Amino acid sequence: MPLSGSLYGGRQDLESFYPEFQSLIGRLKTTTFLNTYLSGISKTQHINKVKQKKMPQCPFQSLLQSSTATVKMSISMLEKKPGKIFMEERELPLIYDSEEKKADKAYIKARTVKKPEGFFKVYVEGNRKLLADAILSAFIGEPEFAGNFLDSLFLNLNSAVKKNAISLHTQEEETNKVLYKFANNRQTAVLFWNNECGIAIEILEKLERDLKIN
Amino acid sequence: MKNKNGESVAIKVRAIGQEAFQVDIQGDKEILAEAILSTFLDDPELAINFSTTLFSNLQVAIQKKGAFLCVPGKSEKRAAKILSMLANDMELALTLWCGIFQTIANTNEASPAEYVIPEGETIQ
Repeated sequence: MPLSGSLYGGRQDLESFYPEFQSLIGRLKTTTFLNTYLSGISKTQHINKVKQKKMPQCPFQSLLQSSTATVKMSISMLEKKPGKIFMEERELPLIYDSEEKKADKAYIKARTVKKPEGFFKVYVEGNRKLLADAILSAFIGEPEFAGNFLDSLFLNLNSAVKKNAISLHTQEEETNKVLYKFANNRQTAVLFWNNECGIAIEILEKLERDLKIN
Repeated sequence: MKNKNGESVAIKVRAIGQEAFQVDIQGDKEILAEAILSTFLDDPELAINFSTTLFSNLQVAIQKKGAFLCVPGKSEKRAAKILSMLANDMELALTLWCGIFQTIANTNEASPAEYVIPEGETIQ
């Protein structure tokens, strides 16, 4: 019997947790507990430091750089409209560009095939940012589901590291060390994930309580 | 993966207004989790979006409430240390997460599955 469920999530295109923005959000009356909970990137100077090395063979790395470009673009857009949103130079929120809002549906569908066993076919459609937020929301809302994902992720990582070692396109010692820890010690990896989900759930519950009070 | 032939699973999302969305999960979650991982490996844009969302939320969460250790054990200290490192360094976090996906993707590319799913097998 297939399980089914429904979760609610929020998009991270308007808000941040910084006090100056909380007052703004209050005035705009657009806040739901979820779009507040899924807040924007803070301290984007970290993002701006992402190295701009040319790594054409690594799609993840090139997209990471384009993601950085999006953040920079959003910041420049904000700076041009100082009257709309006040912020300090040191801490800037991430505001996605308007294109993101055009697409309002997305899905991942999969179906197992009869032969050979263990294979499945996957279809993906729709806005990827929305889908990414939805997946994270689903993981946080259903720890068992997050656990399933983690099992698969770290088993594959462990196997991949044994076969081919680590594929990092930036030679950062610190990243390598952490990746090896995750690959070789699933308990550490799962603990890391549990911590992250735990924090998010706490914040979610607090925001829910606050909304009920208001 | 579970041995369930012909089983369909899905995660669907629909935006509600401009700020919220509704998510529906259908089917076996173990299969769906594997499908999501498979999608991340095949669709770097989605993987990057997920990583960015994940770590921006982590960063804000730790700033607000600090690290939360819910499963104490011998790995607790190491996990807490990694968590703090990642929350305080977005570059490290994204590099790490992308490194995980890239490592798995490269290995799959080096020894891909031999079976090709027929085009006729569509998902309804």
